[in-house]
Amino acid sequence: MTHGQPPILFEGVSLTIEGRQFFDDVDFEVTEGETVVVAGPTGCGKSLLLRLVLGLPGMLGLPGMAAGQVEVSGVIQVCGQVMSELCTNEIRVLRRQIGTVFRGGGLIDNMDVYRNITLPLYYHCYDIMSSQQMDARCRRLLADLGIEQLDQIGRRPVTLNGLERVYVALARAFIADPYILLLDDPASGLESRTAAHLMEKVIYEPQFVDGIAIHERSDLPITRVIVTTELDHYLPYGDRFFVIDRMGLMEVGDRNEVINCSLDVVKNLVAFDNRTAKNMEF
Amino acid sequence: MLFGVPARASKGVLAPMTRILEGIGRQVVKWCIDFWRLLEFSIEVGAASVSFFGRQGFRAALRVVMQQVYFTGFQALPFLNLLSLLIGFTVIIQSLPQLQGVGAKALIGKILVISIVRELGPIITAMVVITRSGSAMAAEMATNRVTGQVEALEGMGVNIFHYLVVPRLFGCMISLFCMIFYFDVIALVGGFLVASIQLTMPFSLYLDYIYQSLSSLDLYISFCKSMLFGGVIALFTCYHGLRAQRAAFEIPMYARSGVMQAMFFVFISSAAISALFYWI
Repeated sequence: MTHGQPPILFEGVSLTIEGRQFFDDVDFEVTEGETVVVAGPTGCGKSLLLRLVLGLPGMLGLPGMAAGQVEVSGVIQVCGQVMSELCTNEIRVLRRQIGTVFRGGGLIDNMDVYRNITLPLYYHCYDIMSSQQMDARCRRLLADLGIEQLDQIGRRPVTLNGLERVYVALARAFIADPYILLLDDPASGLESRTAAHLMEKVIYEPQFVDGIAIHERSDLPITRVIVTTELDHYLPYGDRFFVIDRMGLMEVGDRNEVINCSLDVVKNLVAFDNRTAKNMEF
Repeated sequence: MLFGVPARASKGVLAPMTRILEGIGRQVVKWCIDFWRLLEFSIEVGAASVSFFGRQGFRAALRVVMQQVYFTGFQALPFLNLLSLLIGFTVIIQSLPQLQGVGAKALIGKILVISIVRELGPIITAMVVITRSGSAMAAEMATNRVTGQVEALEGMGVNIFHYLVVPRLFGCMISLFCMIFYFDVIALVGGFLVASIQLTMPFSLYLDYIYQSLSSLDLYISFCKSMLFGGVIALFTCYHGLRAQRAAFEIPMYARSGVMQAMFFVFISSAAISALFYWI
């Protein structure tokens, strides 16, 4: 991955799962360091967009997913690499540059909070980092995200509430220097102040002092893609906004264009009133 | 009209046959697809086993192996103690009167070795592992899949065959090997307790009978069975567990399939190995 290449590029992408078409000839480009918000109603395929970036649909040769159930066409380019030209192991290597916060966190239930956060390092970086360095990174993230209190020995994800799970997932996503950060509606269902606090952490750029470059791109800014069902929480933080509906993926523009947009599909995804907009100080 | 039979009547006769044939055909196709998927899964697991000792993820996966050995092997020991002692006790208590009747009590060693070391030890230990750990593994895999943990691991670039399946495979193999050895020793001790009470047989003589009857072939058979059973149990339970996709009701459904198939193939492979070594 070099400077100037779009971290995520979709060209004419179509996706059909079990006979149901989710995307048809979609073009989508995210440039380096920007935060893109993709909004759409439930069930329109927002999360699938993130899974396409990760190469997850029809993944892994796992049992239960028959050949032909998932059909992807078009060009998906992530970190400068065309996904369809990569083998499964190469896609796994590519995924290490991507931090993901799945809906509900996607935490591993039989590991405590500390092990959940350090798992990407423990799995991928044991040959380039010592346990002390991993520990230092974890402590730094816990402090920066304000969740030190969650690091108690043996505290499992089942004891965390929804917001705490998202914070832990965020720490896990940040720990291995991601180049791309994918977030599946992290502020879903939160009241505005808590959501704003969370989003401050989402747009935070971790600075680790150990000097270890896990990827070639360690000095590049993080590119963020957030998918959501409501735009309110993300309006102050997104650089560009997209909307998905049955018609496909459509770029709305920046936050001012979202506010002034007269399309019903966009209006339905924004629930704020003028007072909220004023408080946001665009 | 067909051969003098009205069309409606001939359709009535043929329709159930057609339905039965259709059903059989559908079932055969389903078995073939299932077998093909299992084969694909096994190839993935085989490839991940080869790369298991590589630098990537070795320590993380090794930790899972140790956890699996602790859970499958170590934590099952108290139950295995009692079971093996009772089995050894029962085998001797049933066979001693017969042996004494024909004046062949020196065959006690041969009977113990053939029944316990070759057959009962591996098969009963495998049953303990299937019911205790196999069901847990299948349910855990299914839960991981349904709750999105498998997807989250893959999303981090973790090879789930390397991190979830292969450590359980190795853990089961190591555990079964140790448990079978442990089972044999305790069962032989159980047998000695009966022999010493009923025949007032000294321990040295009992040990001598066992030692004379025990050949390297017996140990080899036991070793082969432990490796095969361990592999079969882990492979089938993980395969079926990972078939779950969306709903919680799939978890017990696939856990049951995994346990049943593992049990079936353990019995099949046990018979096959015994027959193979008998002919050799």
